[in-house]
Amino acid sequence: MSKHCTNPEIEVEQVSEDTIIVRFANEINPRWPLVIREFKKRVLNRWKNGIIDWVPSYANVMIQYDLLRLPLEEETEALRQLASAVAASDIVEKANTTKVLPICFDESFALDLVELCRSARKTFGEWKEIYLGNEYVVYAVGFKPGFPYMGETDEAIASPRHEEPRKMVLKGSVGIADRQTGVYPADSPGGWNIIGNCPLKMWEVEKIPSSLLQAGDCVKWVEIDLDVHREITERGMEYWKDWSRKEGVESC
Amino acid sequence: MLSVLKSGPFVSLQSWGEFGRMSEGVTRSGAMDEHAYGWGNHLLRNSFNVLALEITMGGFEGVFDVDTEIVVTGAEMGFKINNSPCRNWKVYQTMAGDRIELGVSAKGLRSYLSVSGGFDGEPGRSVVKGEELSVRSEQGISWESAVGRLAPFEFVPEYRSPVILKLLPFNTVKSDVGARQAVSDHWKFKVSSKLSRMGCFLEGSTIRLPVQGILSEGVSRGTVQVLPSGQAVVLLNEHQTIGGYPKIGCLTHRSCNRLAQCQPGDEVSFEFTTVAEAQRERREFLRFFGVKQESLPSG
Repeated sequence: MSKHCTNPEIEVEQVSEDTIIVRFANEINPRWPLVIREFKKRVLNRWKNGIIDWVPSYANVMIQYDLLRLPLEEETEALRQLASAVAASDIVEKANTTKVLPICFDESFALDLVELCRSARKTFGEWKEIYLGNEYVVYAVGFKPGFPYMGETDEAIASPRHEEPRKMVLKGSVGIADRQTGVYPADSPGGWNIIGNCPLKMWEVEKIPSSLLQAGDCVKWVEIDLDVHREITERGMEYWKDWSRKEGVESC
Repeated sequence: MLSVLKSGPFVSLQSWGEFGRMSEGVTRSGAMDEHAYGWGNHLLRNSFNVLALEITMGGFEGVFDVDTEIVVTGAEMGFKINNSPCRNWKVYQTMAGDRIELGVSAKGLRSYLSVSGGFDGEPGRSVVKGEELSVRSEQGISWESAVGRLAPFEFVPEYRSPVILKLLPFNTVKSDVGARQAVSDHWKFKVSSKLSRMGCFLEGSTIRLPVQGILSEGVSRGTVQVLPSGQAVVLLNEHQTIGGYPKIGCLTHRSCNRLAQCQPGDEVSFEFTTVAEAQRERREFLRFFGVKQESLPSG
């Protein structure tokens, strides 16, 4: 899953009075979210008080800090060195959490799948096998609360997003845009190619954290049919856990 | 309680904001003009982050059923108590049955109605006609009277146009002499009517940058993005957490607070400032209002 990444230089830039961005690279590569996850542990360990927010995205992270308690602007060199050390380390390869999510490809959900199969010159079965055969890394969660940007889909099934976004995409819709895949946490407008639906809640306000997925998580998809989709929608995570246990599949 | 008799379309309960959740896609929200909001609570001797009503563009009428103390800060909206004109930035005693009124904003865009102890409720929630807002001071918390306290004139902005916004330039602009020149000499904007709690579009100069897009990264409050059309947009409290549009720099928090008071049509231009200067100002601001921010847990 991890490709060899060359990293010329790590950039550290002050982007507002209280916010610094650390850019590991300028590429989309599934290894970087794992590096950034490890980097977070080390940063919070080094500066135990004063980091207010942490926003990981692809190959960079934005750090907001408390100006009154932590003059992080004086630590840019320390941040760069820490980032370099993590980027170079091996330990990152092994540390990840895999979450298994259910996807239903029923035609009522998979609005763009026929077209995608046609342009990829694959049968429905072949296309599904390729999509399900990959493990995806979450690059970032944003755009809408709980929306995960994941990658990397196989080259063979990559597809550009629609020029005109749909006015309404159903909650739970699983989409593909270029070599990324994501899940809409709520009904919303959307431009991604819709290939199926995931009945798990990507966003639950009552829980902390509210987002099911976080940057650095690894995701595997397992196919379910319409009946199981309905059951999970009605009965929630517990049903999914039971079902996957019975099927001999790891769950979330 | 404050019974809401009339409410304009953009009235909501706001606190200082919610931090630490951008990794889930949740922005800080909170009061768009920290300065006016902060002064309201400060004058009343409230904690810095209790809920106030944020009234954008205007329109509000309510009646208290308890004795309390209130202050209106921010935009001039013809604040009245029982039909008597009152002034902003000053604490008034109100008695049960008193009617509070705010009209349309003449100068500035957003007003903050703060009450002793703050309002009860959910931060960010819209407030509509017919509601009853619970006020914390009615729960028997004793407080030292703040009646008559007034913000010193040097802290009361006049909300005049044109406005100079202070910008921290990003590396792409810093190293480009042509761009620096363009920012200070040529770029003149008017605030668009396309504004919201997410941000503010600027009309006028078109900005040409060498790149059309960048790898998506976190964006901070005040970031000035350039869309493919060349239009500039300033991101404010409810901005999307991550963005892939090129950015030229970031407004200081103080300039964000000032921009939050700009009406459509107001003229704005940018002036560069330094990180050191912006931080000095921000530290002073945070200290003055006693802002306490929670750290992320380690481990």
